[in-house]
Amino acid sequence: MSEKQKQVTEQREQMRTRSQSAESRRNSTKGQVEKERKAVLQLLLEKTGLKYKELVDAQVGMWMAGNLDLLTAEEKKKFPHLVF
Amino acid sequence: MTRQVKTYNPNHIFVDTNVLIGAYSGDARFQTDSDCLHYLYSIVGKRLYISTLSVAQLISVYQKRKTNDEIRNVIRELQHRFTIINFTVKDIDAALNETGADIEDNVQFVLARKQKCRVIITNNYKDYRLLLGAQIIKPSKVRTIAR
Repeated sequence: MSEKQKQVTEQREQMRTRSQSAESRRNSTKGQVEKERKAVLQLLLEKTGLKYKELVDAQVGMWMAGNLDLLTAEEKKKFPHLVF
Repeated sequence: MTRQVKTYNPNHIFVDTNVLIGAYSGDARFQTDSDCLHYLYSIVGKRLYISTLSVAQLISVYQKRKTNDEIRNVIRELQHRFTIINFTVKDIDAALNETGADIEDNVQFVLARKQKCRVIITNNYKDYRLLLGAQIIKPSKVRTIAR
C-alpha cells in the first residue's frame, strides 16, 4: 500500500470514528435533553407560580379568541351562554 | 376564499380598573396587582390599554385615601404607561346590548374590543368568563403572557 493510500485510509477511519462518536453522543443526550427541558419548564412554573394546565388554558383561550371570526352567526347562536 | 377579518390583536392588553386600584393602593394585600403591572411594563412589543372610565373610577376611589398630589402622580404614570381609551355615549349603548353578567364589566369589555384587545386582565374573572372574544387573565396569572 502506497503512502498516499495509507493516509487516505487513515483519514477515512478517523472520519468514521468521529461520526460514530457524534451519533452515539446524540443518542445518549437525546433523552437527557428532553429530561433537562422538562426540568427547566418545571423550575419556571415553580418560579412563576403557574401550573402547566393554566399555561395551556391561557394559550388555548388566546388561540380561540383569535379564531372566532371563523364561526358564522348561525354557529355562534348555538352557544347562547357565551358572548362573542 | 372569503377574506377573514381579524377582530382582535394579540399584542393589545386591556387592564381592568380593579387591578389599577389594587396596584397603586400601596397596600401589601394587593401586591399581586402591583407585581402584575410591573410585569406588564416589562413586556416589549405589547400595547397596554385602560379606559377613561377606569381613570375616573380610580380617582373617585383614591379621593378619600390619597392626597391630590399623590393622585396626580398616579394618573401621570398611567398616562405614560398606558394608552387610554375614550368612553363615549355610543359605548354605553353597546355595553347595554352586551349580555355579560355585570354592566360595568360590559362597558370595559366594549372599550377593550374597541381597541381589539385580545387579553383582559382583571380580578373579576367570574363575570368576564362569558366573554369568549378575549382571553381573561387574573393578575396572579399574568406570566402566562409570554415576555
